[in-house]
Amino acid sequence: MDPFSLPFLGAAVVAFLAMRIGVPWMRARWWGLVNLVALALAGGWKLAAAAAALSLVAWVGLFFLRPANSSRSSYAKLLLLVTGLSFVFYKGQLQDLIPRFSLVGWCLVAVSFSYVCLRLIDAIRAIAWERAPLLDPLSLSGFLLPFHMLLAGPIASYQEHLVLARPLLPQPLPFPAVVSGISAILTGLVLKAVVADAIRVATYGVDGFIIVESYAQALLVLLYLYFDFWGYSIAATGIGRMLGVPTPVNFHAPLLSPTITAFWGNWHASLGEWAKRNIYLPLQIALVRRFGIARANFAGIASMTVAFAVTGLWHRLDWRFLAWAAGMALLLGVEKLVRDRFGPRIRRLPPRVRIMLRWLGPCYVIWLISLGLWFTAPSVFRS
Amino acid sequence: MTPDQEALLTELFRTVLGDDALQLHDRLTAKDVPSWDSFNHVNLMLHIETQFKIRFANDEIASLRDVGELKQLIDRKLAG
Repeated sequence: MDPFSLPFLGAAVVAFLAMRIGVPWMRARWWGLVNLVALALAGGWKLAAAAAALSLVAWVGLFFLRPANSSRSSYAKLLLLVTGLSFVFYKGQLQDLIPRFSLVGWCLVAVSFSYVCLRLIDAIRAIAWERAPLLDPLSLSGFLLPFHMLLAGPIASYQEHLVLARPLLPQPLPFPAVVSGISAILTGLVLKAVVADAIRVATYGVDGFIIVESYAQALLVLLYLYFDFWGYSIAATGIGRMLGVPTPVNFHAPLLSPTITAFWGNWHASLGEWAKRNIYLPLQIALVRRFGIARANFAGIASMTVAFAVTGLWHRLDWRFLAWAAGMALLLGVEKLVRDRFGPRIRRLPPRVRIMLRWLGPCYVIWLISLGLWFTAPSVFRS
Repeated sequence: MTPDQEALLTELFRTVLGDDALQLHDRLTAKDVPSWDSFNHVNLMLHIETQFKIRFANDEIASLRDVGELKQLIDRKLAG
């Protein structure tokens, strides 16, 4: 399902027009139905049917998380475990072991498809521990499998999506939103089809496979990935703006970040926010409560390492990504130490030195991120 | 929030964030204080829990936007 293909853009136009109609439904429910139609138009009826079935199954699972259920927390942990295991099952390509049960395989593929799995975990946490209301199955499908965020994100939070749980009124044509949405889609198209593809074709040729055998290639692939991914994300944000569906901004000039810590807040920001909401903060709070404030630094570093490990393994179930994640967590720990020890002194440095540091920061970030890419590339790019 | 509680809150912010000159006001956010990162945010909130003898829910810790909201939350917890 290519976001710049004609069927996809046609589905976006149909969805946009449908979202302007006033029907006596909650906005989230109408969006759920419109989204299933858009999925059918852009990816075929099988995709839409699988999305509907998956949402129904997920809804049944989430239903038992309602506040009246006294064993909600244990049940939520079980749901998280099942979701996590299905993800491992898919990412480990274990579904090939049960070809006879193709329907089961299909369901597992759907549940564990990266972004759906992350959104489901977010919904479990929000409903179980934040007592967020459970949407109906149709509305839930609009959160779990939004057609414009299915391929490359971004990842809206369940709480953000709840703003759609209000009556749908006839919408006047939101001209500024339409202009900015179309502008974002065209910008995304240029970033993906002109800039990113120009880098790829110039480096590997029209039909060449991406391989990373040198540091220079790692740098070029980093640029290619950045423009490609940013292109997809910005187009999704534009479509989301036109539809009135929460679609977070995913990139904030990450390659200009002064530190690796800032980089991970600016690159694929919605994944970073997801990891913070669902792994880092709950774990850090639990660890500090258990071991005391005196061990807060240990709790923070341990939580950060686990959050990076999970997001690393989310990319590939592979030792390289685990090692990469450990390296990144270590870097963030070192940056935190430097910030705490020398932050006030750095802020008192002469302006010229601070300007120089501001220029050196992005060089340091690009150098380390492309080194990480060089290290993990054999797991991702195979000829 | 009483003046004593405000003073205690300021003291906690200064200690945890390592900034002796920090002045609290309702619109102060994490973006305004370089050392107020997510790492220190949790430490700060748990120090507040201990000193004020209250307990925050995880989502309350995660979703606070500024000092004004924090003060209101503490007041609500202290009230009951």
